[in-house]
Amino acid sequence: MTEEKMRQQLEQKLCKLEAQEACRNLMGRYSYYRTAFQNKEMVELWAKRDDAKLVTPWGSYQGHSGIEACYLKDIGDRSDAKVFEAIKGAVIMHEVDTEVIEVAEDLKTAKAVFLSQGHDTYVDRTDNETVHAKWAWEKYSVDFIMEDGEWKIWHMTIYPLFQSEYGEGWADNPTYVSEAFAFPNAGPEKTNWHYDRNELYPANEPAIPEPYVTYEKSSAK
Amino acid sequence: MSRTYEELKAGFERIEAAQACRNLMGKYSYLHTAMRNIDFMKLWANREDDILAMPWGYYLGIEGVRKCYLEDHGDRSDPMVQASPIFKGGMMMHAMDTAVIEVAKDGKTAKGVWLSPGHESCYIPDFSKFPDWKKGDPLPENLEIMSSCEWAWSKYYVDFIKEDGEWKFWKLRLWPIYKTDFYVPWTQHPDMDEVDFPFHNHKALPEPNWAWNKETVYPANQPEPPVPYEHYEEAVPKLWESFV
Repeated sequence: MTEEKMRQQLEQKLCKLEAQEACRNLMGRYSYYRTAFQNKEMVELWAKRDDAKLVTPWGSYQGHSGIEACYLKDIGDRSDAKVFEAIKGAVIMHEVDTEVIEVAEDLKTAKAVFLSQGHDTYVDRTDNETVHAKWAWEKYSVDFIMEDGEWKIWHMTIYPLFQSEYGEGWADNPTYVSEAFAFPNAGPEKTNWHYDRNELYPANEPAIPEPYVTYEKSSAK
Repeated sequence: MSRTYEELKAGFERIEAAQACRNLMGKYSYLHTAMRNIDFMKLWANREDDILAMPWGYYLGIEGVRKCYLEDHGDRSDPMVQASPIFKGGMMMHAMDTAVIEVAKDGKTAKGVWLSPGHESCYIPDFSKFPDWKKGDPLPENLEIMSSCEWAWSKYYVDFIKEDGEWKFWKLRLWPIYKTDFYVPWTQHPDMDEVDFPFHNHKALPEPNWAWNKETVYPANQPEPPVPYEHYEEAVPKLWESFV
């Protein structure tokens, strides 16, 4: 092996490791910004592409304009006075762990899955200021893409696991999305599995990524 | 793409540094649960400018860190700890996840944030009946002991520094999120009280901790996820300005 070939292989390895760190950091930032309703910063984590996509338990958003609609209109940023008033008492905290990350051999994309244990606390101002303290667990499937030398979130699917009031068994509550919130810009595609005694747990939600060369030729898009 | 060997070496060292920081946080968690605080002290940089900011107050310098862990808490080898009704039956476990880690381009320091789901269990005297009692005082007579099993979620901002070729804790801020009895939702739990922490070597926090309230907004940038930086001196977190 020539010295240049060895150098190239080392660089390839380093780029993969750096990409993994970048993907972890993106998911971490996603979590911190989400909890604090720092959604202007959240939008900056996403690739500015028409094929960016977010699928959630309450609906879906297509393209970077869709991502902006989700985070800046349907949810809103804390710098907006109306939003700031509405998020009093709200703590939406979704931790991120149990990762599987695969970076493409061509170093242009990465695929990953994560589990998330969390809790949602909020005041339902459509229902006599009722306070909710809920456990909220979910799962993520995420594609990342290198854009202008920086790793960005490209596609994200959020799979619900359960959401239940403190002290309430999750088997007793199949509802994941509260009716207290409206998401007028969300498309109809959504994730909606919920625990049920008559259902087998899904086999591939999220699909665990396998090593791959290029995104275009990989199996799990 | 086309980095020199020197650039590649620096890049691999930064990857190693990120893992070293994760390992430090992991070791902190395991040692804390086992009350192995003599071992935990070895993970700290031996510096006058160490900062350890806890939910009940803060400690400055390596001597302050020592006072927190070996005097205010105590090590499992300490006979007083072994005899303590609090530490027997004690299990304080704080897992680590949701990390954002940035290693300085110069490879000398690193910054990280973590969330921590956890639980704290112990058999605890009813301190509310003995508000003046401090750790080290004789235990009051007719002491009532209550079992306590709580969810204890928290979050961390940490600066790390490479000292003599090894990554060490340098500055650590721990914020509480929720600490609530197993049977009580965090929205119904009273705010933390000084009496929850009978320690006496700390300085008072510059401002009270955030606590859930239906009329308050969750704070932004607590912790602030770090962003890429070259040198620590040019990117000192504002967080530390008030810990003097």
